[in-house]
Amino acid sequence: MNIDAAHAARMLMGDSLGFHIIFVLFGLTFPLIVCWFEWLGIRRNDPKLIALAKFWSKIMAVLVITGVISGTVIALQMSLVWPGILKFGGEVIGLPFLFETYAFLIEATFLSLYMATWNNKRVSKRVHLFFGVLMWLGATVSAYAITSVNSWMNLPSGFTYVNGKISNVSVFKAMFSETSIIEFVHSMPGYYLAAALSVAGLYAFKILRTKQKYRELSKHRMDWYVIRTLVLFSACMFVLSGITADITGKYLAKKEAVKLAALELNYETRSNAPLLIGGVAGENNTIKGPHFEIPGALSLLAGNTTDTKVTGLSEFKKEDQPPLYVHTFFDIKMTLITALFAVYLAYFAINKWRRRWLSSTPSLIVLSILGLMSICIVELGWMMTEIGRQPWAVRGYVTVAEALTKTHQVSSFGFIFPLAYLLLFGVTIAAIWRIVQSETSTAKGEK
Amino acid sequence: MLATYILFFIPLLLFVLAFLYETFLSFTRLYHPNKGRAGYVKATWEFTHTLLVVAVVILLMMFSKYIDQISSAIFMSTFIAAVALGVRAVAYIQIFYVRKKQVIDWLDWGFFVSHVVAAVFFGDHRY
Repeated sequence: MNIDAAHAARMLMGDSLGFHIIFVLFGLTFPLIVCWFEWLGIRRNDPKLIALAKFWSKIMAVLVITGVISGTVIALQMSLVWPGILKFGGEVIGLPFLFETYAFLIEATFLSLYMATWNNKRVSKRVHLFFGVLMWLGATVSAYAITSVNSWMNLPSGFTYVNGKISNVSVFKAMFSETSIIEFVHSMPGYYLAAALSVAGLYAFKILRTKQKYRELSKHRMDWYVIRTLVLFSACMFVLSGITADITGKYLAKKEAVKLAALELNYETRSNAPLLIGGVAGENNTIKGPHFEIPGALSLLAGNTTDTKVTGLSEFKKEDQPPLYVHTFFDIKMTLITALFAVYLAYFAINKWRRRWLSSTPSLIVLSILGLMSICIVELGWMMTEIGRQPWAVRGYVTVAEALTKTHQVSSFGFIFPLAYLLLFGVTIAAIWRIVQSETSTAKGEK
Repeated sequence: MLATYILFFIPLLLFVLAFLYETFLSFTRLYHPNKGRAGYVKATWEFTHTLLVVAVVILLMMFSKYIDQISSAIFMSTFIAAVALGVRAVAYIQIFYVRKKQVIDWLDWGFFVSHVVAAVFFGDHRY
């Protein structure tokens, strides 16, 4: 195997997925947010809420362009750079792949209808909303299908493997395995949370740009309404994420023990296993750097009691272990989650007892950056999932080296894609900024 | 098998037709600068590329056992086409969403060329 080629291909795929996931999380959440505001607008007969839904639908359309193109590139990369995955499991994961694209086709079709029928007198408001709901359904089904493919790579199921051949294929079992369901219900609240906080953060930033004495005036009433609604929604998603994270922890301990052991640098199989905070892997199963342990917490996470035996890295061959730096990603993720939890507590306390403090500059700065922070949490979660599966592309069956194309080296031209992503990201932000500007000038003109 | 072929060829045919139409528009709008956004398709037409993904996925399903040979054969041309699609997306957003004045300059030509490059290399399997 050419290590450089494998490394370059992994970096290319990592860049592509890391870029795409940002647009995925918005693409999954915006239909929900837009439909929600439109529904409220129809129910309350409030044109401001409907205008808000229309405004965000325009941004959603721009984000879809970027998401579609990065998704197309990933689909091509999956087959060109990693043919070994599909060669091994094409019979099992081919259909989920197909369902994903058909579901996305449904989403794209109803997005077109939704955008084209705004203020169309021949289409009633409820029918227009119905198009939006179907768009959201398409996005969600598409997300489930592609998550099931990823979870199949994490823990393959739905087939029998005898003498190097796959038989007794059950696509249904592969798509609706425990792994798929757990991965899906854990990732979706994370996407909703990140996108909702990003939108709330933009409104907080908008208010931040005005002088303190004008921040609570009626002209910001709608902005505060959006912030309060979305922060409350994201808090619900935070709780849901916490519950599903606990389920995921127990699942990992049972089914992907090596990943959990690497995430927590748990070298030995033991009960009363501690949760390690800080530190990095040293030589001869040691932990270097500043760190501390919470006694029994890992056992508690793995099986609800401190007596639960947690499998250690020593049970696995060195070559079957993922890179141990995933522990640092886990630490950063947990730090961000803890900070987010503290912000939620502070936000609800201030909202109840000192509401005026919310419009202070420090509060608005914190609210503005929450979206970015939660996008980082989503990215770190996916990095842990993917790097935690190494050296396997399909756990137990196909290694990354085996899955890699043998005929071309990505290292010689793979850098083009990250450059294209940077450009694409830049113009997408510029386009969104232009939509915001034109909306603001339209609003001023109306006044 | 016939159904699979139909499933593969219909999305592929729709993609080819839609993409050629987009290529045609990207060329004609160079000579009608005042048409502005009306000279090209709207953002929601981006699902054209979803048709391509559908066709690719069905192709992979049908020939998953030979995927390494197929991927070797189409590797370079498809990679170049994918880069062209990326350039096209950047130009599209810049021209129709960011730029304030609808004038025709090198970006519009680049936009047209990216269509042609993508179309040519999707059909080129010399490698």
